[in-house]
Amino acid sequence: MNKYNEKVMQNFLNPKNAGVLRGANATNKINNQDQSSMDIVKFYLKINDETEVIEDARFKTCGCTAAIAVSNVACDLLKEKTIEQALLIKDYDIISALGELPLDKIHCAITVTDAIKSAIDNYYERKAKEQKKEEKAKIKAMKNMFNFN
Amino acid sequence: MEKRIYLDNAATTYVSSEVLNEMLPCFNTIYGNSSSLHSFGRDAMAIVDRAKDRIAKAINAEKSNEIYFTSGGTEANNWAIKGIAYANKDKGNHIITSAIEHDSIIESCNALRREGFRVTFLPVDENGLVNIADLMHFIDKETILISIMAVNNEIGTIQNVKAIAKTAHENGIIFHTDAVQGIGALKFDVQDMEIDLMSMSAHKIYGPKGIGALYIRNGIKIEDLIDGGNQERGKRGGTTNVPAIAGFGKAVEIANRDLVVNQQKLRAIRNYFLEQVFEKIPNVKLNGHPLQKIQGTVNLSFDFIEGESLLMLLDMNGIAVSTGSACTSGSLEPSHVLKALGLSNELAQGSIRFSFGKAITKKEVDYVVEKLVESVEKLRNISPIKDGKRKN
Repeated sequence: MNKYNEKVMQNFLNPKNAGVLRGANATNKINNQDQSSMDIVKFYLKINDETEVIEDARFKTCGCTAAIAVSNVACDLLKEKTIEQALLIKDYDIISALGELPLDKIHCAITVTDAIKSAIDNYYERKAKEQKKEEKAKIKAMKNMFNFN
Repeated sequence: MEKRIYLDNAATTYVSSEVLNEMLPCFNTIYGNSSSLHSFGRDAMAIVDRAKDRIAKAINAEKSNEIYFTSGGTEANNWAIKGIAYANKDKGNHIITSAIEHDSIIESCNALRREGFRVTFLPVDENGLVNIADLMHFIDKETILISIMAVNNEIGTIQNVKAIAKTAHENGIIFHTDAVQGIGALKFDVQDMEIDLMSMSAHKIYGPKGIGALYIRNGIKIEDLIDGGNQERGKRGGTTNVPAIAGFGKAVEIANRDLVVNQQKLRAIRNYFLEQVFEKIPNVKLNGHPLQKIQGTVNLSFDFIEGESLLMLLDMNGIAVSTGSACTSGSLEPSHVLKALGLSNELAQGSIRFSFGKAITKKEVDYVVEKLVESVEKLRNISPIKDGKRKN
């Protein structure tokens, strides 16, 4: 018998959440330099700025069977969750969504939860940048208005 | 699953019918203990002797009593390394081997290291070859054993065994080679190649599992392996495994008989396979020596994907291959062989070994290529590092 259960194999063979998400406003940067872990997981989240609800989630993963299955199921878990709820998703929540994982593959779930966190970090960073930009634009507009030079 | 194609012949092979027929009578007709003095025992002994003769002849050993049966390649390797080290420790405590040896050599050396022996693991070049100049550099007065594999199990690279053996002997050092992957693919002549000890195994050459042998040139000092009866000239006790030995002898004989024709066929298959793969899949790298290698083993690295997931997809299509990548326990552990070649971790992780057997057909290769193209494409489509971000 396969070392993975049927649910893992289903998620691996038909990862319906795989691919780039158009209009995503939160993605984690992948770090090729970090060679301590093989799995490279990238999430694309579309977060509603008003309600902070994750409206859609997709992934791209270079990794083993478990890493791909975990990424796919994590997207299902993320959808319709608020950011606050998403940050509470733990590795064992993802594992239990798949039933079980072989012991030597537990780290895949940890990689994925880390990737979710950095995707959300990225969302706030982007927001902060946008705010700064807006403020700058406002100041510029005011300067122009009063014709300071 | 309709179709099943086995491309993991470097892991093990099926038992060929010729070999099986040789073995079957030994289970219920010639079942005596080969150590017994009566006719039942003598009959069994005759089978064992014949197998020894066959193996000795195939590798051109001077005498057939230089063949010692073991439970397989791992046992032979353990015995060679530890047995020589213990028996010659008054002469020195230094052993030289390579970084791409089989685990049974590396771990035997590590065990000796814990006991105070010094071990040098020679580096290899990007093709997997040991450099003789490196070897000469590391030889010192204390060196008692040099052990270099004849053919690497993951990439198929053939070492310059004769030159290494000569270098060892010029310095008065014993030379061992692990020839488990070489038998059946290369012609071995232990006298001409100056090999002192050589490990062999049956199950890689269409023989049974659980049987192998260590060739020990007469006059080489080695510690006994198992205390017990006087089997294997008193060096390895335990009732002789007559059926397996009968099969082993036959398998070696056939491997030698068909060596040229098998290699010619495998070369044609391998060239066709590689042609197809390189034509249909971009960003693939062939690992190991491009020419100085056995024909059956092909190790490829696919950029942007991981080996285990590719293995699983091929397995879903009935194709059995193996991968050197082991994404376990959170730590990155690509195969020590591919790492020694200097492959980046990413490429090492995306590596797959295809090892063809003598029964493979062109039609099967076509099917494998078709499924391989599909699977690689599928995984690359969901990989975040696809777009020309190859890091090396």
